[in-house]
Amino acid sequence: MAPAERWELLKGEVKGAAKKYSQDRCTARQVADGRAVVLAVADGHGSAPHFRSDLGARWAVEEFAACAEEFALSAVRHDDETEPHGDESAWWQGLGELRACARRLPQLVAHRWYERATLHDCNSPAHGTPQQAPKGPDLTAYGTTLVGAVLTRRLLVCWQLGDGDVVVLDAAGTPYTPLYTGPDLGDETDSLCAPESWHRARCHWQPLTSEGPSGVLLSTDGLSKSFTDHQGFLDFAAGVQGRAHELGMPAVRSRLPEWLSRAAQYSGDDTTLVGAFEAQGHPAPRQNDAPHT
Amino acid sequence: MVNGMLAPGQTLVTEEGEKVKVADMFGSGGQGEVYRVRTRKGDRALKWYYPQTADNRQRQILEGLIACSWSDDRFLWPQTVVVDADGRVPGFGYLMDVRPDRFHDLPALFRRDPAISATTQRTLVMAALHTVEAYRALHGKGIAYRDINWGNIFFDPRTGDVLVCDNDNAVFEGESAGVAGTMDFMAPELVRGDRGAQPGIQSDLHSLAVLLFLLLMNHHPLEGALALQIRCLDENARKKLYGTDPVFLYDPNDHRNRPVPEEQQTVVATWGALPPILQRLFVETFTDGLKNPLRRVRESQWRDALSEVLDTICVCACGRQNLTEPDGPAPHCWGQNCGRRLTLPPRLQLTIGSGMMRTKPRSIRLGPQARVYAHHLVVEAERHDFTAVVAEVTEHPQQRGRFGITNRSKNRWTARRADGSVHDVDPGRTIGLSTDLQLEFGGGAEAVVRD
Repeated sequence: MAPAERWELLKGEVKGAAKKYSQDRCTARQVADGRAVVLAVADGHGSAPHFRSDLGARWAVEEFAACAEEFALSAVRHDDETEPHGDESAWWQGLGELRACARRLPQLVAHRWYERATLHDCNSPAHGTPQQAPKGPDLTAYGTTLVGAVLTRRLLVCWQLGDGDVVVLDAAGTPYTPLYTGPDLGDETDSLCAPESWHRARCHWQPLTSEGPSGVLLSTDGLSKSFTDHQGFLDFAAGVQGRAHELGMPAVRSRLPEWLSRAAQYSGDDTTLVGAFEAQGHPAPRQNDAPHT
Repeated sequence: MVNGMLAPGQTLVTEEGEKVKVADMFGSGGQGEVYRVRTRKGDRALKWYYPQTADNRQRQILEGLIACSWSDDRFLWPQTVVVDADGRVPGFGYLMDVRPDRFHDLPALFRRDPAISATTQRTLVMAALHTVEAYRALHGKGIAYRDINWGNIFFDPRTGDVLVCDNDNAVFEGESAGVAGTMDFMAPELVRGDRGAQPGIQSDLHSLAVLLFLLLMNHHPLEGALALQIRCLDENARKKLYGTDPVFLYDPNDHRNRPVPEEQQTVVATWGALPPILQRLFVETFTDGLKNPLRRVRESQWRDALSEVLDTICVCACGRQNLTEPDGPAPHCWGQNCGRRLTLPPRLQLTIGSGMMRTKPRSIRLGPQARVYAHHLVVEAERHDFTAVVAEVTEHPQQRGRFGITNRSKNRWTARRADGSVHDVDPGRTIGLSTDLQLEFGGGAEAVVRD
């Protein structure tokens, strides 16, 4: 299989039922000539104090994508270095440094996001007049979460700041949630607008030593909140892949907004999902094909 | 279910021929995957090396460490090599104890995880002290750890106990081995790849100082303004930051890498609250010590300073614990919404040893619940044991606000009050605290209460 066909990407976003516009942003892209995938979703907080959170979410996704692409390139380059010699030890022995980069990435993203938000706030102060607080400007207006992932043939790394979900489907299609910390209690969430927010980012590091994942899905919490329990959400994630197998990815892409809209009716929240799936054949679509909800 | 190198239910065998059964994966690291395995003696953790890293050299290192059969509760020491007897899975791994749940990693501290909410200034300093003593013990055996970083030290937020994991890169000093570790923890000469530079005890001292700074300051000592200028994960830029041009955040003669207050406020606050006795050591090791490995602060220096600071932690009226300079002036409370000057409690000036080994007096602040431990009464204690209480400040059961010092040892003390009266203090008994009260603990250990 050509490298560019290794993964098929999925991206869908719908606005919350009662909202004027969505504060979620996302990206799903192939990088490194199709040898790596970068996924990200950001959920701008949306409430009145966070009235610029759509911007915050956009910058979060953009800055994450820029840093993650560079990280993915490093991983792919590192992988390449082992190829000519047929000696894979260089890959495994260099993992420690890649891991250190993975740990450092949230700090880079947070810094770049801070610069963009600060610049915007300087030019157009959120509260009318520029603030001269010694600890820097109050960026509450731009508050957003961020969930991102990089997938290569040898490595999966996921990062999460604030709420949202990462679902990984193993080779057999069984879902697991490497960064899940239990049900959310209340609406409080970690945010990029908090001081030194990068400290609060969590990272899942998984060199692929066996069969790689068959799918990786990232979503804002609008999706998981629409299910009565966590298992229902996991079933949905596995179901998306099941439908992709049955119907083919183009059909799933076209139906995804409808599925997400249904979910958004329950949560009332903006709902965004991105994913990467191991590429394969495209069986004929069938009717009545919504994944299990 | 994470797909790893080993499958749940798979049976492996130890070098001694005992079967172990793979249960589930704990996680992946820089060198291998860690699994829970079932053994005849209960659950153990199995680190299984990535392909190619499980080479002869690693096996040799591992077997050398196992041969030490070191049973120190501060280390998850390798116990035995494990292989797949059927040869279906190439490579090997090793068994160690499972890390108890009470231990948490440093990222949990940085993100203020609810699981570590019991952490206090005191338990952080205790964790730092235990960390120093753990590496001192290792170095004392002639073993260099070579890969000290924030991923292999865990701490108990309630007690400050530490657990050092991933000990499988440790080698006997002088033995040749590949460079281990990541750039942000490596000594600059290793990052630069200086001719003849080898990871060893001297480079461990740099990594240890980085770890201590992270633990106490919650920030990397070289990542200030200069780090924020790095726009990407550029290897050359990182080499400059940690190797060719490392600058300490608080280098008194080089201000280029000061923290940026708007983005790095934690370290600004924590450094401001750090007593000068510890600030001086950090400055020394991250200025002179960056250039000259022989100028790095040694474990015994860290131990002594941390121990003294631990004895002089004072609680503000607002309830916040503050680190104070031993025998120094009262600082302002570092609580964000407090800032008032602390009222320092009286101190116990303790002198121990005899003859040439007589120590200079050290101070223990006698706040409520202050304690004297067995290690206070020994000139060169091997380690600080905070369960071995010798004396304790207690409040009078009927008269609130009146404090005494209670004998928790098995020996009778002699006390002399300022008026010259002499009293015996038997085990379990208490004598009221008063200025100039003198106490003889036995063995040449004497103390006097000072305001």
